[in-house]
Order: sequence, then structure tokens, then C-alpha cells
Amino acid sequence: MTKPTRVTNRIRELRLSAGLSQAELAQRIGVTRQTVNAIEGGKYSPSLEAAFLIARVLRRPLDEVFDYPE
Amino acid sequence: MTFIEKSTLTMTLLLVVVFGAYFALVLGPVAASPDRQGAFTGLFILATILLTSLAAGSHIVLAVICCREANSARDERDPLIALRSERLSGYILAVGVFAGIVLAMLDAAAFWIAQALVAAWVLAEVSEGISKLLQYRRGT
Repeated sequence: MTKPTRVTNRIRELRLSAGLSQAELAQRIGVTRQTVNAIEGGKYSPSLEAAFLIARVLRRPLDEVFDYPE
Repeated sequence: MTFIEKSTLTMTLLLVVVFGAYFALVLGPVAASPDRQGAFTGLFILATILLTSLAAGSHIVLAVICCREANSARDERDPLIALRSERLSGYILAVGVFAGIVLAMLDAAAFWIAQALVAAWVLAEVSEGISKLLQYRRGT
């Protein structure tokens, strides 16, 4: 039905280095743990607002967290 | 599993059980009875009341068991998944309504037109539930 997203991300790596669990990150950006899992796995592209919030929580610029390959 | 997934799974199972029993009775003994119109009306009202009561009761139990999840805000995937699933159920419902119109054109008994419409509604709701559950499981 839907194509997997081409947006790749380093959320898992950055989240673990920040010592955050999926549930903690989810709570801080206002989504469910399942959504964080789907974003990390590249199954779901987050909204722009959620992407900015993730980058803010992980204290990284947006393009360091997400990448859209050529 | 999120609260909305549990709620969708519960509602889909309840629909299958309650209206599965309804159709087993309506298409069997009720269809053969001389007063099928009155019998099916009573059965339909009973099924609707039963479904509503079971839905309310099961959601109270779910909310008590999963109190924290039940109070959490809606997730940003929820409206997207709901939209896709409702589009699918809308198509199924439209086909059912069209079938009802065709039956009316063919001068079918009101009993059969009603069953076609109820079946379309139940199928649409069940497909919507299954579609939602599959999308949540798949992640998108």
C-alpha cells in the first residue's frame, strides 16, 4: 500500500549515546514508543514538527539526525 | 501494542462475534420463518444493544488495565492510519449500498435489502479494523 520511506536516520545510535530509551524519547516528543520504533526502523517518516523535536531532544542539528539520499 | 490498537482489536473481535451470531440466525432460522421481518428487527436491535454494551464494558476494562496508555495523547500516526482505513471501508460500504439499490430495483424483499446493507456496514467496519491493525503492526 505504501512505499517505505527513503529518509534514513541515526536516531537509534544518537538516542543510545544520549542514554534514552525509546519510551523516554517518545514521551518527550509526544508520540508513542511504537511510533519512535517505526521512525527508527525507517518504516514511517515523522512529521516536520516531530523531526525537529527529535533533533532538539538529541541535541543535534536536523540534518545530522535525518538524511535524504540523492 | 498501543491503547488504540487494543481498542481497535477489541471492537473488531466484538463486531465479528456479535454480527457473526446475528447473520447465523438471520440467514438460517429467521429467513425461513413466516414473520422474518419482525424477527430480524428484534434481533438487529438486540445485536446493536449487545455490541454497544460490550464495547462500553470492554473499554472500561481496557482503560482500567492500561490506565497510563489510555490517558496519553493521540499519536501523529493515528489520523493517517485512520484516514487510509476509512477510505477502504468507505469503498466497501459504497459497494454494499449499491448492492442494496440493485436489490430494490429488482423488487427484492425489504428483508434482503436490509441484510445487504447490514452486511456492507459490518464488512466495512471489520475491514477498517483489520486495515488499522495491519498498518500499526507494519509501522506505517
